Amino acid sequence: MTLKSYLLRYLCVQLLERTIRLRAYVDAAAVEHRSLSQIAATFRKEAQALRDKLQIVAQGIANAEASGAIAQRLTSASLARSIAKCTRNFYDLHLQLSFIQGPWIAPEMETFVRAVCEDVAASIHAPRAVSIVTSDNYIFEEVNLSAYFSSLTGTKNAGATPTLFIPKIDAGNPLLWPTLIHEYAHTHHVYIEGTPLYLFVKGLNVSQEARDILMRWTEELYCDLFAQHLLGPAYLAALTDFVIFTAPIEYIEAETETHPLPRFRVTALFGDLGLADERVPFERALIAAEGHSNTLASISSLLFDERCEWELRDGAPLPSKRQRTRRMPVEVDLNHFRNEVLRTIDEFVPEPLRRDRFGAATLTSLTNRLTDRIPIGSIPIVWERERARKQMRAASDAIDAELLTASPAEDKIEAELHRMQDAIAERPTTISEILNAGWSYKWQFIYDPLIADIENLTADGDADLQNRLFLLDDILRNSIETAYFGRLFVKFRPGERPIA
Amino acid sequence: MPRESAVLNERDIIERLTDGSLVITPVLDPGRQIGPTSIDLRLGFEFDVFNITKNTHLDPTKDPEELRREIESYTTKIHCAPMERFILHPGEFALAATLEFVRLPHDLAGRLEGRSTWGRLGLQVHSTAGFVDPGFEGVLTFELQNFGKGPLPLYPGVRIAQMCFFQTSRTVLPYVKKPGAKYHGRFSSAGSLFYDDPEFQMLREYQHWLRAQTEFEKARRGRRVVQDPKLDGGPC
Repeated sequence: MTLKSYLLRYLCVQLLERTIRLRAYVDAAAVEHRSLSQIAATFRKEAQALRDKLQIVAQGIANAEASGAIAQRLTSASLARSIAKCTRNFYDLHLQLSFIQGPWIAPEMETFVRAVCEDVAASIHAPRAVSIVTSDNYIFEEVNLSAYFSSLTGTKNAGATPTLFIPKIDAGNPLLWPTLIHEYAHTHHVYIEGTPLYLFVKGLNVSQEARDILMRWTEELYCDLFAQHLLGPAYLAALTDFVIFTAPIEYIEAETETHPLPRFRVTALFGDLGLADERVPFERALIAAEGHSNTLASISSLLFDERCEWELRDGAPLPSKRQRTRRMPVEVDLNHFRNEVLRTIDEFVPEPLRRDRFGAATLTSLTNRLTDRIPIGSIPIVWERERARKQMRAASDAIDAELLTASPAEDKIEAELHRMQDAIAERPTTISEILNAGWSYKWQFIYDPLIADIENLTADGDADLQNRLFLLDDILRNSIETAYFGRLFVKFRPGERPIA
Repeated sequence: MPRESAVLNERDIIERLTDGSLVITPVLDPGRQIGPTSIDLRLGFEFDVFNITKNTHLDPTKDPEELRREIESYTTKIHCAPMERFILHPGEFALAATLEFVRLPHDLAGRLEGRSTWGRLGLQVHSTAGFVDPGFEGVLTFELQNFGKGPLPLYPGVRIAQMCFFQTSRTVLPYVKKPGAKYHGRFSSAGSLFYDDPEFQMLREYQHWLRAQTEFEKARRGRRVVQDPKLDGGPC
């Protein structure tokens, strides 16, 4: 399979997942509110139409591969454009969710944000809690609702009510929640203004307009690096997933007034992970993330180049709804800015938080547990099962032997039993471990098989795919909440006999 | 030295957990959780409480999808985040689940029981369904009822139940393979799926057939009425 084919297949699978989530969201809303049944039926019909289109595109990709036409620029451009149109359809349909009062924000999402915010607020001056609401447009963002409301009413008493927005259909999808932490970081004004990059931009001899743009970019980069610092490559994965998905409608290769070039954001995140010089021993998720980066880099060039041609050819571009950028004034040397980002990359995250970084040591074990459909809110302390079993058997035999003696030594029996108990104790996992294992699992066991078998991506398999996606969601949400409870338990329980 | 006993003792349970044949996770505090012949289980985060509705009753002969909606309208899910509490008032009934995910091997059966600490306060953790088949996996559902005189604050994570295990010879029909196993592999409490029982499917089929027969009879009579000039009474 060529890279071009892979990218097109990947986009189809991403869109299929979103379509399934959209349909499930509407169905769940209709179950909760009977009055929505007619609206739900309309949505269902449109979602089915979108699904049918997707089927045709998927078949088109398979046919083009079989005939070798996929290598031709016009064919691949045509296929990419078809996907882009479907994505636009999805985007527009998602906007219409404003008609629907959705069933829920997963309560575990609040636990997730709470767990992260509490940890962060314990170390730096940052909000301990934020509100989360769902949005109809398919974007994540952070808004100070107080300021927004006072701008509506013309009052001047704006306080701080940081509120994070998440697309309705992803409110129950924990693998995209890392993006919320990026949005949360937008509230860290003091630290953003303390980054060396911010000071660098402040000192540039450029127009105010250019400086404002660069400062907003600095803020975005801070938020990226902050989220990745806390959550590891799970953030990178969530970001790239979102960026690739929105690429067909959002001009992936274009800077905007608010966001730097997506490809550069990803490059910076990889640089921060130390992937460039392979200092960090990454496991599956990181390897997969690296593959994802290649995907991102390739898709961006593919889509951008082809898009230019489409626009010239049929004069029917798919305009982004996001505010497009005016060109950065020529006075700004973007390479200079980018080099400065990479040079100061270790100094973005506030100093008190720099100590803890994501470690990938347990990732394989956790992913294996997911494969076995076991929640990963905790993880056994003893990992080498064979060794533990031998120890256990020895301890148990020692107890039996002691019990057979005329006067069994109670303290010896108790000590052996404690050894056995300690061996099965579990430690709560961290949220980053859970999410990274989740991404690793999703790539390997859900996306890869679908991408490989795209020609058979018929609607008959949708129910099965939905089950697998939602099962993963369920396990991850359960794990996040259990892990949070476990951490509180370990932290605050009375310490009679600390676990070895 | 191999031990042969019907009920697993603490060392048997630990050994089973270590070799992975029995899964109970998380086990955060084995020293307190594991007793002589049982392991304590904690309360999970979700509760299903029953509403007063305009439905007269749950009619199992209705269409299953409609019945499912009715059952959903009959219950409300309440989620308590860690460190929040759920209050179970005297006489109230609610469904909940274990915090722990449990998977039994094919040669162990389990039994869920309350802890006396809570029993003394009037809390019952299951009404009638405490037995767990070999091969079951998922969280276990509690059927909570407060038989006491005062409201009980229930915090997710507290140990309210215990489970003991019975060694059996290896079954060839574990829960997952049992026809009609409805509650397998769940991660939150599950309301009743009684309408999925084949007995009710049979009842629905029968009623469907009966209705069809009645319609047919009506139609036949109707035809006769129209076609029989004597009965019709009109000119022919």
